[in-house]
Amino acid sequence: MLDSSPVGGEGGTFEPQPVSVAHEKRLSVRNLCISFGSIHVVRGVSLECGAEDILAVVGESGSGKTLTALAMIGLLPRNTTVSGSIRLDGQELAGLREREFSKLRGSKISMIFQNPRASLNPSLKIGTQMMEVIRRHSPATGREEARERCIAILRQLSLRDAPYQLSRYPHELSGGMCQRVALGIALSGKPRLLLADEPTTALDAIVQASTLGLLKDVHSRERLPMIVVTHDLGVVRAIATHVAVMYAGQIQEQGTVDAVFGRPSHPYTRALMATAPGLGRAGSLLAQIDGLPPDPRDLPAGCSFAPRCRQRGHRCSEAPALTAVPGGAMVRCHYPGGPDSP
Amino acid sequence: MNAVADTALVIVQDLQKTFSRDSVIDHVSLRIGRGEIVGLVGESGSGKSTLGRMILGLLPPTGGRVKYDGADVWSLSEAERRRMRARVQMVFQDPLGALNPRRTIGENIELPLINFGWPRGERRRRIEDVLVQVGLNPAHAGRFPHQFSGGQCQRAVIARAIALRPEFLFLDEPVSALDVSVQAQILNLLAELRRTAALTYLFVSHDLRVVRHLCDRTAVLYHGQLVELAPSGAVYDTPMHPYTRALRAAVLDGSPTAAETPAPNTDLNVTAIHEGCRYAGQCPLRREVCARERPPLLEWEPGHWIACHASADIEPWPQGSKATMRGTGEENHEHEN
Repeated sequence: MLDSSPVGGEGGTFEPQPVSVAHEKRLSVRNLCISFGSIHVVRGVSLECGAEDILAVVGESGSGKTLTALAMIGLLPRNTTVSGSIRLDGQELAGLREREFSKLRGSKISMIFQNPRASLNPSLKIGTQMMEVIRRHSPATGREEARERCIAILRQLSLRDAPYQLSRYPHELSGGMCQRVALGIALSGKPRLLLADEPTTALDAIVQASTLGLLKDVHSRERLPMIVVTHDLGVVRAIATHVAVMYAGQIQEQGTVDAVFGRPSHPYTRALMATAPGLGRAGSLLAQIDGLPPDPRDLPAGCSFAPRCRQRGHRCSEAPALTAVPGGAMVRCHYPGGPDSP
Repeated sequence: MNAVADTALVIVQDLQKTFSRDSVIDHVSLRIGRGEIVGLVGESGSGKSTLGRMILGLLPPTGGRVKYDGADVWSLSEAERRRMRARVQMVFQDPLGALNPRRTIGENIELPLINFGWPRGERRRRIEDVLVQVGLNPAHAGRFPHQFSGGQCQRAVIARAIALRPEFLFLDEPVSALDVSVQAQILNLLAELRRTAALTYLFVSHDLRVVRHLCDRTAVLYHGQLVELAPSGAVYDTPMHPYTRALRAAVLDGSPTAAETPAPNTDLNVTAIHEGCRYAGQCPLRREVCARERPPLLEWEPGHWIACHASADIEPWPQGSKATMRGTGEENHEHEN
């Protein structure tokens, strides 16, 4: 559903985002708002993702990162209201009917999920599931040809004994292998954009690392832009070129990974980076962010992070806008250089 | 095996567990000293939880012994083992799943106290005390689990675990289901409780970073075999066993090598292999003997134990490539806390 009236998070419209008019990237999201009735869970998100980019959307549970991704593939729950614009290759996706969206899913946009086993049908063989997708998107494909395509795809994803794997059921495969199959299905329609929601969170460390390497390979070989939703800053550093840090339904900081992680300007980004364990100072207390993320039904006035922020100042009772800082990132903070900055 | 041998609270000797024909714990020996935190890392299916459950007296071993405070857990009578369970407690990964959703937080914490015959008045006081200890508001004891966030539920689970004043906690992935900011809160709470409540932990995690942060020593399990045991800093900074090295290289710490890790062959049914080193099928240092004989756990350096036939071929771990981590925010920024 497209609601043409702007959804005001705190009783107003959202600030306009800077638009690169000259050249629109493959995916361009403008001022995306998602709400459940009067509860605004995504509040004015703008993103871009070009063919060369892997964009990581980072945040904690409830930050709106997954809903943002689901909006791009038309899988939001029915009781949501969406406004704003989502353009893929210039085509507007926001407000498409389910029937139109289902044609795009798999052929223009694909998605892989956190639990690869749950995204496969446990009662069908791998080959049946893969061939179904291929023949759905190109009905003229014969069975043998579809089978050959499946084998080629699985080989590209370095799955051993590809023909044999087609005859197996999901429960006979390990989690990492299931994720490769899910990725194979996602790639089989030659999509223009891949969404990955916590793609390696459920995997063991070594399998996680190799799966991330595989995603990177696919990205550069196919020039396939990806949006990776994750809570793990390590995943971001391992594969992403760009990052958007979400909190309370808004992007708090975005830019290239080098810009954001090299010189984090938002207090939330800095705090997230400092809470990661295992880096230096073993045995000491970890930096922690006190308190809890805000309830979307009861958002604080002004900056959403202010109640937990250690450097809040008198201006934080007003909502900050996303503004550029030196270094190339965009930050939603009144005091990006620290509490004493103007 | 180590200096604290005489005062060890938990002694695991040559422990084995076989489910039907699959050997899931393969001759594991380990000592946990009083007040020590031992981390247990390994991938899913490596036997981490099985090992913990045998130590707690919840799952009988197929062979070997577990001694808790000098007593052989599995030659105790059922009544004695029940009394022992007041001294050992467990914290699970999914806090919401570990709490009874139809009981209030206070009632959830009260249950073990009722179980062990605490009088009503003392139970009330104890519930208040432990809620304060874990950083929850005692006035919220009447709330239900669904009214709490995941981190608050995990605090409640920890409160229940320490209610009986146990000595030993088996923490099975206690922070894996939590958000990063909350994960830090719970890790800090656990570190503090160890000090204030004189606790000993066996801490299971798949995350080497978390284990390195909290644990004194780290044990690395690969498909039921203990392959490396050393102070946590040594496991993280100078891992020896080829499997530990693969695990360490896969830690996403910002170095470029992690995403270049080759795919492991996860299709091997290694638990059905009864002889030899379980890692032999994937090991770059494999020798002919590896598939035939299980390598013994030997002390490579003082306190640093590894089980590897090819230990003579192990090259020094490249210092610096992994040891320095850039852009973590730690060097440039003060701790937020």
